[in-house]
Amino acid sequence: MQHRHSVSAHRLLGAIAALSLGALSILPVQAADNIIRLATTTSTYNSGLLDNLLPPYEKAHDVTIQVIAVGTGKALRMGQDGDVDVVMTHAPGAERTFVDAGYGVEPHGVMYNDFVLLGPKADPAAVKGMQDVDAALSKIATANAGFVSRGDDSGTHKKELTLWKSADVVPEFSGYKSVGQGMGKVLSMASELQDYTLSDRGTWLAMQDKLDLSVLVEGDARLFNPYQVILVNPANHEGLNTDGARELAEWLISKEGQQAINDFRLKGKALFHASHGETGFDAQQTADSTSPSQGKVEQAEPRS
Amino acid sequence: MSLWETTQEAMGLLLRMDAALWEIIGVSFRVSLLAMLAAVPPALLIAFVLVRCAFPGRWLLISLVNTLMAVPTVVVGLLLFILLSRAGPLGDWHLLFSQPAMIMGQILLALPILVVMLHAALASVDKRAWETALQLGASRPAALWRLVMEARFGVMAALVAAFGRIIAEVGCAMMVGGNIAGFTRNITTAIALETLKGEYAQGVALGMVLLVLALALNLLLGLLRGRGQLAVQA
Amino acid sequence: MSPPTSSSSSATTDESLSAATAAAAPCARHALLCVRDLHYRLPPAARGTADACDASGRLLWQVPLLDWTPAHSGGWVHLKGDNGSGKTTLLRVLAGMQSPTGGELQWAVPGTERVHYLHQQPYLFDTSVSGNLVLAARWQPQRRSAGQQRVQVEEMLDWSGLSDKARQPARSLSGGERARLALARAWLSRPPVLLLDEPAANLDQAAVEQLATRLEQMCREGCAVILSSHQDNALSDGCSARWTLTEGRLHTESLL
Repeated sequence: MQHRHSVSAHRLLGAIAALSLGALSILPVQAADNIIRLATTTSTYNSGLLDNLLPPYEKAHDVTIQVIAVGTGKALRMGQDGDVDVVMTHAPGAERTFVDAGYGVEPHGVMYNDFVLLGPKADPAAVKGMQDVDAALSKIATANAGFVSRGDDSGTHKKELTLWKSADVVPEFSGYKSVGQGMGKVLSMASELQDYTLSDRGTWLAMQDKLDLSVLVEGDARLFNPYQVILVNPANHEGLNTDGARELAEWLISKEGQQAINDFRLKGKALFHASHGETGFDAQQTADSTSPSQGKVEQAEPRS
Repeated sequence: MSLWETTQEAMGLLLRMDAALWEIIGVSFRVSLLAMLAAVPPALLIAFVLVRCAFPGRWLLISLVNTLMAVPTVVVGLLLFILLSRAGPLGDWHLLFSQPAMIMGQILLALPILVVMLHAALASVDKRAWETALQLGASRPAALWRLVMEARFGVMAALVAAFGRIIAEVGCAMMVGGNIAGFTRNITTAIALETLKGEYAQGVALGMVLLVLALALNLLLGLLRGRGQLAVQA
Repeated sequence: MSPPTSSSSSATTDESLSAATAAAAPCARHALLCVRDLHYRLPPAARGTADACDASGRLLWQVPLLDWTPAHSGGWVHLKGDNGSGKTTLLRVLAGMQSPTGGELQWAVPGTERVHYLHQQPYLFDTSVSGNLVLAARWQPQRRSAGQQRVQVEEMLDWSGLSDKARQPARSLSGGERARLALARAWLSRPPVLLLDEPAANLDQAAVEQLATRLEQMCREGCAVILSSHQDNALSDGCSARWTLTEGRLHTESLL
């Protein structure tokens, strides 16, 4: 009885070992040179831009691009850890820190979209139609209206913090809610709570039918949202597909890639504007990154 | 960063009594303890009725409760979200994204596991215990309390399991709590967030709190069980 | 559990023809227990629980008429019957723990909780010896102050001879000790009637004699005792009456 028992136990162990080995044997395939791992923000992914851009590229170049859609903070962190080959994010300050620290190389501005300040139709802080986003934010803070913040260290969150800073407001009024969630979730929370919030235009367009919110402030140059593509520094990690990543980055800033970005439409509206080499955009980028330490400060105190 | 460095940093955060970190831990405990407080009495009554009363459909009900135990937490969260949403039937309560909403969700999550495990615990007590208590003049509540005491190890196991489930769940807390810093951000939603941000140390620190909690609860349970045959104050 | 005084009107069987007239007879003036047309039918063999109370099951026993008036205060009845004759069911019906399938019974004591039934193997709570008595003191029908309860517990520990084992887990006791503890726990509130189901089963001679001493003492203090067994033993020796359950009928005889 006991003997039979031990035999079956051995068999079981053997089966488990075989299974685990089988599972492990799949892993090295991921390092193959026809796979590019791209960490990017939810805004580019959820808007459908990448689904539009990448499949033709994959077909033409016989590669598979694995897109990992996370917040900018996580995306840069994955780049730093060598978990991906290339990142595409929209937080100039943090990106500068990322490159300066040697985690990334060859940054290129690719495109920009813009942010919009949303709020309840009742607009208790009366900011509708204002041209100056800083003034609008101060009014919201003075009125102590509800404001839902991403609070997740994402590019949108960093953008929001930059705006509060330039509006000279410390966002600690009692209506301010830092929720640490994705854009879609934040939008539905703002709609449920009838609060103000800052959103990228793409997510707003995709979700606007389901939301009880409206665009109150838009078009201010400070609301522009520049995206950069940065290669993960191959000197730091082994086994990166840097060549594939570089090829992809160069395609994105090529005439063909830039055209594809400009042609992308969501609900009939252009979302992203190709910006490689655009002087206006570069000026904006410089303005956003006036304090080089800005990204670092936010990293250390994400809940501020 | 290596796992070891992350762990060291996490330990540092905990030992420095980082205020934000401990506030998050406080939210978790307050919400889950209140949810337990609210969920245990009805669960105990349902379990008791299931043990004592043979009514038609009883086994159907038990199977149903067993099934509910397997419902993912996000599904409970979604259900509650729809109920509490401004457009939902309970929208007027304005409870969405508040601690009461999290408590409601956790009550719903705790109930099935409590009912199932309390039912098993009470069913394991000899039928004569109930009769003897009544024979000695105990009121029904007093006799029920005695049954709970007779089954105290099973009851403790049920409480620990339910508490472990609700304090460690993230789906429902995220959905109806909203992870608002300082209000509804608890251990699990904070871990989800910190990981999203790439701030692993915070996540690991909070994870360690949950781990230590689980260890403490199980040690307590083991300790009680070890004393199983010893006299307990009646 | 419905109170035993609840009546059933199902008088359709032929046995109940004579019982029907008996049922009309008023209770004897000083009867402690008054039974009219009490009967119990087993549930039908088909395990349909819904009609468990349907009168189509096999008749386990019936007691057409019984007026029990103990000759002296106390009174000690030996309920005798073969295994399976329904002694336990009868005792449980008399204690109000189980409903009869028909008939009436009435105790001339206030409240059915004053009729105390002790299981064949008494259930001891999972606590200490004194803890079991503390529970009985807390639950007893008459309210007692905490101080009085303590006195009662001490008294019953002494009475059962378990004072030196007061702090031990009740379940660590020997068979005889368990029986004495269960008896002390029941006797703590001085119930006027005590029903014991096979108290001598699984006990050795010495334990039975210790039990007998205490039962005699209880009888002297005015407790009416009905104890069941399938044969005569040391406990049944002192009985003032014998009730025999044979072929579904209860026969009573005085032993005085």
